[in-house]
Amino acid sequence: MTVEEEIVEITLRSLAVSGLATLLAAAAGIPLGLFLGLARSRGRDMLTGVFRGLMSMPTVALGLVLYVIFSRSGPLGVFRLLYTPLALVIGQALLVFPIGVSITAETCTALSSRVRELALTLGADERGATAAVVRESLGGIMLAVSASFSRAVSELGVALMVGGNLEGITRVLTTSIALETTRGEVVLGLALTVVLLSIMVVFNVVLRSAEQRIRWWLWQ
Amino acid sequence: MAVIQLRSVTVHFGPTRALSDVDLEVRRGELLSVLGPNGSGKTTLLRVVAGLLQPSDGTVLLDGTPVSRDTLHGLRQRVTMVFQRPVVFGTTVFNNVAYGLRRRGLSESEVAVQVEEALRLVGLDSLSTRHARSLSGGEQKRLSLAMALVTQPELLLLDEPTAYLDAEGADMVWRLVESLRGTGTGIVVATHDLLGMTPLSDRAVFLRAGHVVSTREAHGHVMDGLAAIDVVAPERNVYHGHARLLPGSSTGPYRALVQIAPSVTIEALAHHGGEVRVSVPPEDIALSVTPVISSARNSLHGRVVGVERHGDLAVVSVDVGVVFNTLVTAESLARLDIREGTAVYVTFKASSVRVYSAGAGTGGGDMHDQS
Repeated sequence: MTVEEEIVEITLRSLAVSGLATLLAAAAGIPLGLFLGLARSRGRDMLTGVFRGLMSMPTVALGLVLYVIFSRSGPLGVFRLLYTPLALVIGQALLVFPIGVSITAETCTALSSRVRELALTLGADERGATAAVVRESLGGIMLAVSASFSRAVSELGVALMVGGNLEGITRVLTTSIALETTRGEVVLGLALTVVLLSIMVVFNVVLRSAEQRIRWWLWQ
Repeated sequence: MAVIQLRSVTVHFGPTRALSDVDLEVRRGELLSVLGPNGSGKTTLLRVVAGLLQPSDGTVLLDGTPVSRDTLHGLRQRVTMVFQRPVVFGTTVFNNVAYGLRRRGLSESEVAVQVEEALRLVGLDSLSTRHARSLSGGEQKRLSLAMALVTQPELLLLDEPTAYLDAEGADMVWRLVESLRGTGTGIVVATHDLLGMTPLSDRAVFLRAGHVVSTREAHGHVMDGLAAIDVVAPERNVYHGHARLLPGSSTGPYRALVQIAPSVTIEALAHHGGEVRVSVPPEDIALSVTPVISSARNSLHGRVVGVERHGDLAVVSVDVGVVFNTLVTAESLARLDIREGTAVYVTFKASSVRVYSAGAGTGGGDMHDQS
């Protein structure tokens, strides 16, 4: 396999693993974030605070906890997940889940009372008002997806601890950059870094464009 | 006949009591002014009337029937509120105005016609395809008005309707309000800017610290902001007086001496002499215990006759021959050791004095203070 082919393979793996992790985290985190943003209970602030705190969880700490859980003697050892792409997906999904919840909840909370009251006074019923708040939270939801993917694709700790950087199996862009740099292949490391940054930029441009289309569609 | 009635309505926000035992009725087709300083409960009152806030205590009646959870949506379909701070949806101007019509199930062709008409009324017809959030604050305020007007509410609630607007925008709002008179649409205008309020009210209600402290009725006549201001005259330092223009500049406004009591004459800027009404905003008056050397043209010596604390602020009443109310921070109050009986100076600029023709606003006919 040529170096170019190897870079393409690693890049595609990174995209697949982090994309799937973001998708899983968003599927659970965004509804939970909307629920917390719309809820008017006392426990909401506390829960939102917890998720905000978890946003900055060190990746190696999460990687270590998952390593213990996935290892043969761990509670999920029977599934033999350690050093598999699935372990990577689960680890990254757990890492970015609080980001999706937090950003969505914060956006929704900030908009909730004003947009809800506007919709109600213009004649919407309670369900219509809630739909209006969710629709207005779209920017925050897309930001949550963007931040989640960026964090997942650029993290190193979980990928190293539960992925193991196995060539052709769990090697992703960040673990490759770390490996090539320690090998003295700084130029290759830099090339991979450019690829990583390009992915993040392109992903966010595409997401921004998608947001505008979704917004247009929601108002049709 | 009353559309909405509030009976003994009280609203708590945690330990804070925003409205206390308020009784009020809003009649069909009338223009009711709700006046009062910031924080007096005007917005809370409007939100209760709009069905956006449930009272902690008391009853809201719609056409004489208590509003329940089941009838709340019906109330909101008939009453529309325009918020002080404009709130718009993140879409085009057109979609924003169309929102209320679509909720009412109108066809898209009807929606298009009515949206166009509403935008024309507020002068935004050329901006219908623009993103609403790209508009200026004043334009968003106009848009908010169009969003409400297009729903043709039975009762339109305007919270500080001229906030964020320039003079031209404010004129447009008052013209719109005037144009709705006689159409059967009831209008409630809440404002703290009493002198900036120009629509002719049928009634005025004054709120202070969540209480309705005074209600004034024009009894078949109408009254403007200046007539309504009599309700709160002592708080806003409003006095009748006689103005004498001083020789000097050839174009107005002219320096003028206004005698507001036998022993009290203040300097102001006026366009004409004769009988006038003057107002000195309490927040524009500086209080000191020694004479102040400054550019301010008015410095009057008197004695403190009252101190009323409101959180971090205090209203200090000073008798200089007439009583001036001044607004100072609690910190200044403590630093200057001001208490009842303290000899003080009240100082304000001639340009802080607002001068109005004494005739303006007195056409309210037979008005009765019901406080």
